[in-house]
Amino acid sequence: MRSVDATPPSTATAHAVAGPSFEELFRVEFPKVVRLIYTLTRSDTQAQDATQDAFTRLFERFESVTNPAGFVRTVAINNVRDQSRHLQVRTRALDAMSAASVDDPWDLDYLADALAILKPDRRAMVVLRFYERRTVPEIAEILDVAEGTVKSGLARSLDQLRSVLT
Amino acid sequence: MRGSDDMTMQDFEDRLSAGLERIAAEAEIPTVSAADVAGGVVNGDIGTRSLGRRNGAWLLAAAAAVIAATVGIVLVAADSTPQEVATGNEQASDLVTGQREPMTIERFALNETVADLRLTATVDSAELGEPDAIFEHQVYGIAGDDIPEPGAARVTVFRVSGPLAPPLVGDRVAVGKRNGVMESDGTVGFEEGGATIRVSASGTDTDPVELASALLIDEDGQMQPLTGLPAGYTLLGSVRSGLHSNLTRSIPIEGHAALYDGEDGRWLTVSSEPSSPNDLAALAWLSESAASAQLGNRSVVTTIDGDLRSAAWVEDGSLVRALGYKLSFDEIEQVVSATGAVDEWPDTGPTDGPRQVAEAPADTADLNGAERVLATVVPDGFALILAADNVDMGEPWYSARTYVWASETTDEPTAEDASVIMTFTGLVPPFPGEAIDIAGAPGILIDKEATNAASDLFVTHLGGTATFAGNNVPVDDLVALAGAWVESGESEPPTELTNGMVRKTFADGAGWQGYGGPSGISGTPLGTTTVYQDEADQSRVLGVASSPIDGSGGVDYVRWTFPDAVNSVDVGGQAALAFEPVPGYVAVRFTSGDRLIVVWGENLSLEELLPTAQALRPAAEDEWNLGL
Repeated sequence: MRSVDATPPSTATAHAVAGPSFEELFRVEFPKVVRLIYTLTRSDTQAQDATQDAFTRLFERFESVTNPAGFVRTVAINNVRDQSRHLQVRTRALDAMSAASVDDPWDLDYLADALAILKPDRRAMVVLRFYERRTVPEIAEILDVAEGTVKSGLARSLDQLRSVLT
Repeated sequence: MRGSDDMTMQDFEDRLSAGLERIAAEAEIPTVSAADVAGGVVNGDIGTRSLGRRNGAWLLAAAAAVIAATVGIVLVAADSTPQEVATGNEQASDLVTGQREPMTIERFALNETVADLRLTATVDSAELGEPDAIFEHQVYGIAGDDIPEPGAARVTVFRVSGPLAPPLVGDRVAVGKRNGVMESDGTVGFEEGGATIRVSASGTDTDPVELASALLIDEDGQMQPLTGLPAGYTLLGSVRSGLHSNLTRSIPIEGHAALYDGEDGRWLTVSSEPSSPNDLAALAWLSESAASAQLGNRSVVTTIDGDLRSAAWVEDGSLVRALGYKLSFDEIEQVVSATGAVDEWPDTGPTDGPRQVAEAPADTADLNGAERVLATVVPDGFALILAADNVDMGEPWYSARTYVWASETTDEPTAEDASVIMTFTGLVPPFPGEAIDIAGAPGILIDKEATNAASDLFVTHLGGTATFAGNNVPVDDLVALAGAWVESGESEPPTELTNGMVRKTFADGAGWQGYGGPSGISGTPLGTTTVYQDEADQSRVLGVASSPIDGSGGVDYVRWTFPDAVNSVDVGGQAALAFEPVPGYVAVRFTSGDRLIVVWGENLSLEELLPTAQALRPAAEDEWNLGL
């Protein structure tokens, strides 16, 4: 077996020349993306799988990706967005919230359930904005939506969250 | 206890951020290095690692992603146990580029957790110690039902790496969780909801497998978002057609398209050259029971309904549909090929030729937007009909119903001709133009739609003529209604009809009550000849319905004349239209004030008739029906 070299399959890439190497990027961003996805899903399995898949995809096209940190977030979020899109996921969250005895709405379980009732896109907006503290343009780029969509989505999400968390 | 309702938004956002950070802090960060990711892609040495469940899962995902990107690695297992597989070295990439060179095999133990991985290999087994066995296009799992039998020549492929040529024709490819088949270069087909979806990315840099994956619906039957749709491909959005009103998506891909019919919950595919969503919708409708085929150099959608075969394609932005009764597609192709482009139809065709029998203006309301209607009847009961219609109307064929009649040898359609053609269109006797006995009075069916959506019946009785027009009323009901009128002995037709019918009458040819309705046609009688004109533009004559002008009062056929058959003439300085309502007669039509005047003469040439028309014109203000 030959040794593993984490050099992307290209001879010379923009990142190799001007930006961080894949290894550098991986070291910095991998934990961040895992935590980002975990916050969205509260599932270690989903977070790790989605993130590793995202980095695998990034590795394949590292030379052509201009914003690798954004790229892996886009892919990772897309990977879990479909899984959380199903209505039953949100229904379960609502059921859980209904059944919960709410002594502290900021209890993590309750907060996670509150996030889960949001539509997946909006949940991602909230986490990108209030966990990663990204700007609206950054969120729009990651989610590939218009900035106006992000603004309105965040506003509605906050209204929705506020209605159950306060 | 809930938090304070009067918490400021800033406080709320701060608490939300803090809560999210606490959730994020729960995450378990796996000990995966960049080399793990890179090595998993590059080397194909996954069998050497001790993989936990998650890593196994992610490797599956990674491998699937790799496959989706058509970049991957080959691992080969010879006659091994499920846990004992071989992995390819650098030469493996040569295999998957299609070179099919022998490869060196190294054996490694495979972690069980990659049990469900099934990918594709094309391997020459010469170096596997199985010189007689050739492994091609085979998919094996390494656990589960597809475990290779020990001792059998087996090939197991895990991943594919390096710059990879597209899978070869016949190769099975992974399309999400589905198995697809590389049907031809650049095209992947897979089953979905009982339909075969074919996705082509030929001629592009796009991996068709990836593209197909973008089309998957999830386990709940819902559309997956089209994330990953490569740049350059457009989601056309909702499309509608007459029969499928809930086609939700269409994706044109190199002349192919896939549409999801939300109503039926299934995918529809078309293979043509769609130029608009409506084209796609119409083609999808046609493709319900259809297959893609080549008709000459055209990619067509074909359908077979008993003896009737049809092929449809898009030409110059219009839907063209060819139907052959008792003709094979090969025979249809011969006819189509002989006729060339629709706009260039020759006067002669495969026998004595398809012949354009009518060309109506595209904006003619009663044609429902049909741009061209072409038809031919080939001897021996074989027929080919071509209609090029505006597909916006949803029912591209029925709209042409009345105008598609012609025989090879006569100008007027014979009953047999009409029967053949109308049968194609779904009509049953009586056919338009057919004389009908109405309780002993002469009647004629002047119009009829296959669906009975509208029918018109002329009846002449006691010096008056009535038109019974029915909406969604069978012709038989109209005949019964007209018969009741005739038998009643009343000179005036009934004024109140039931069942959604409307009545338009005129008496003894002296006046015309108008023929309106949704068709947008009005008419003026001349004796027993009626000129139909476009209500929106009354200078346009759309057709002439005639009965014999011999005074017999009988009506035995209707002939339609279209604008192209009408000559423009000058009548006293005013533009007029000259036409031949029936053989042997010539008529000139012009307007005076708000009147429409028609002058006609038997056995007169136009040149002989014109002076009379011109002379009559000044006095024509108060005149109608100026018989010569």
